[in-house]
Amino acid sequence: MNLFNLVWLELLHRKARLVSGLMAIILGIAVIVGIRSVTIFSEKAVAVKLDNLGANILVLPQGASTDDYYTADIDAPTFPENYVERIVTSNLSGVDNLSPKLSRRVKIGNENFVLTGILPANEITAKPLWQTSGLMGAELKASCATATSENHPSELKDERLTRKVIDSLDALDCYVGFMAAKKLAAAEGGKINIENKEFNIVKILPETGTIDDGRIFAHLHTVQKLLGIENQISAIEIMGCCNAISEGLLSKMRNILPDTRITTIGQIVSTQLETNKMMNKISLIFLIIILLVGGISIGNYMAANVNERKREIGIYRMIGFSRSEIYSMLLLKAVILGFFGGILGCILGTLAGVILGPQLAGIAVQPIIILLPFSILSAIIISVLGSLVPAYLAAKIEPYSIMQEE
Amino acid sequence: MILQLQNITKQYCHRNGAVIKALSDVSASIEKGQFTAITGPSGSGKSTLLFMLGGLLRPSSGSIFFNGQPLHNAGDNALSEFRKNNVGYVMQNFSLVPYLIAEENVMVAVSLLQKDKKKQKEIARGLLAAVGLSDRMDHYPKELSSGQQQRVAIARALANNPSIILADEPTGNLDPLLASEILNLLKELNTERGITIIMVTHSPEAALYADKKILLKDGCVV
Ligand SMILES: Nc1ncnc2c1ncn2[C@@H]1O[C@H](COP(=O)(O)OP(=O)(O)OP(=O)(O)O)[C@@H](O)[C@H]1O
Ligand SMILES: [Mg+2]
Repeated sequence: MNLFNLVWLELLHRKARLVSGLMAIILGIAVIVGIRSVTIFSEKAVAVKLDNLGANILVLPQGASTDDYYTADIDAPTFPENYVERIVTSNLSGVDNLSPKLSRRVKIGNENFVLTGILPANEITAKPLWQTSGLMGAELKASCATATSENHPSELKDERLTRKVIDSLDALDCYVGFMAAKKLAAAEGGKINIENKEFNIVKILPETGTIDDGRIFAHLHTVQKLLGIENQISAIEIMGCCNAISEGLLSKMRNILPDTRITTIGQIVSTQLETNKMMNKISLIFLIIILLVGGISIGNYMAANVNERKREIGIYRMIGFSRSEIYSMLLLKAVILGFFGGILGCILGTLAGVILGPQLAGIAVQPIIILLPFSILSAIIISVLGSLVPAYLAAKIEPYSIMQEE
Repeated sequence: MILQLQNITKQYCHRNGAVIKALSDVSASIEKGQFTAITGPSGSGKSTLLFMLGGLLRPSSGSIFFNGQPLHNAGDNALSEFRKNNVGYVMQNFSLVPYLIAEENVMVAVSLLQKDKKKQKEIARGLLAAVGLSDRMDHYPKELSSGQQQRVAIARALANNPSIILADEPTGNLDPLLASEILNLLKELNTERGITIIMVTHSPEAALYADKKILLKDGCVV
């Protein structure tokens, strides 16, 4: 027999009350875990979307229209290609895959096409990857950091937004968009003449449903020479880490590149970031509410429990238990309640997230193991804090006054 | 002299502000191995005096010595220690813990001095056997008769091998037959083990078991 045995026997003795006392903690932890699971997976989903897109920041010359991300660079004024170097040599972090572009309308036969000069992956300047940090609360930067040239496998691929990276491109090679190929009746392995230059058609791109279908992609430096605007570009596409963006990456870039216009793919990045911010805020508010409600209701349960056990505590004191032993006995009980409340709450919350996540948020949610120790720890803290006062009052119970009551 | 009281007074401050004088200027001494009965009308301060002797209550003024050591100014932890090491209690209302079986009720008291669980169990079983409850060890208090419950309480009082047993109307809730059983048990502990016993009682028959009587009236020894 020791304090733990005593606490345990008492817990088992009053099971019904135990369940109601635990309920507040279980539900509280469940809500937090549920929200947290959904948020984490929604952040992952956003990151995957951005990955598929390849780029989410667009550097345009001052005065370019930014109504549509996909057409913003066409016929825009130009700026020097060495702006790419400026970004690379700066101390900015959270940018990658800087890809300069030059787009112009060209006529082939009687039809209008957009000729876009690009650099293949092997000529794109990369900045070193940034560090990632995981665990609770920290955003999942890991998936932002992907910068491999292969297209990223993912269930959440949004074809409309996908711009595949072209691995290598010779000076006279070109890729032809789906619609453009149709109009030109071009075939892979054939040749087309643009502005009096013969290009080899390496590939016909699959249909995307965007303006890209009407584009012809060729090597940037060839296009520059062909159009007579050497060392100039009309856009730089950049893959920026979404957290770096929310932490003010854009304004830092504006300082480096003064006469440009820098935007993000607004509707995607900002709305998703907003949602995530809101979810994080909600879970913080919930955390506070749960701290209060859970703490108070556990405290309430403990106070009732102490009141009910007055006599018994008087007996323990009578036979020689010290005040601190009574105090420990009740706090030990609070720890046990917190421990089991945390585990059950975590399981319940995870189930809720897994079941409701796809229905409410359209996101597949999987159990997150790291939430378990977090749940247990916070449930124990809530439970102990709520029990401090009742335990203190219990330790103050005087055995003689109890013995006189009958 | 195992316990000595000198000019003890005890006042309770009631919630309504009234000061109730439970004991006034009580002096007494109790010899080692004595069986003492404290008698007197209801409200005369018998329980108050007993709690004071057992280190549950401090006097408002006056001094109490246990084997020459002062209890009247001992701190709360020192009094807990004193109770743990030297005193066994038997109360009128049995005072067992409802969610522990007889064996565990005794074990709790044993566990304060003996940490080894096997030995705790052994000692508890031995004590229950000594009070004649070998066949009721795994019964909860509510599954025991009043007399059996009081025996468990006595077994628990013996857990620390006490030099004093304090009993507050131990037979108050029992019928005469059971009462004499319990009184015989206490008397046996007194004569065979030499345990000092102080018993509060209303009943003149019960008082006959004692070697010495302290009669209280309105908080004074008469
Ligand atoms: N906690 C308390 N607060 C205020 N007054 C008290 C308290 N305990 C006891 N008293 C008063 O002190 C006096 C002595 O009480 P005590 O319990 O010692 O009497 P008693 O002789 O044991 O009586 P009984 O035979 O009925 O048990 C009584 O008048 C009682 O009302
Ligand atoms: Mg009394």
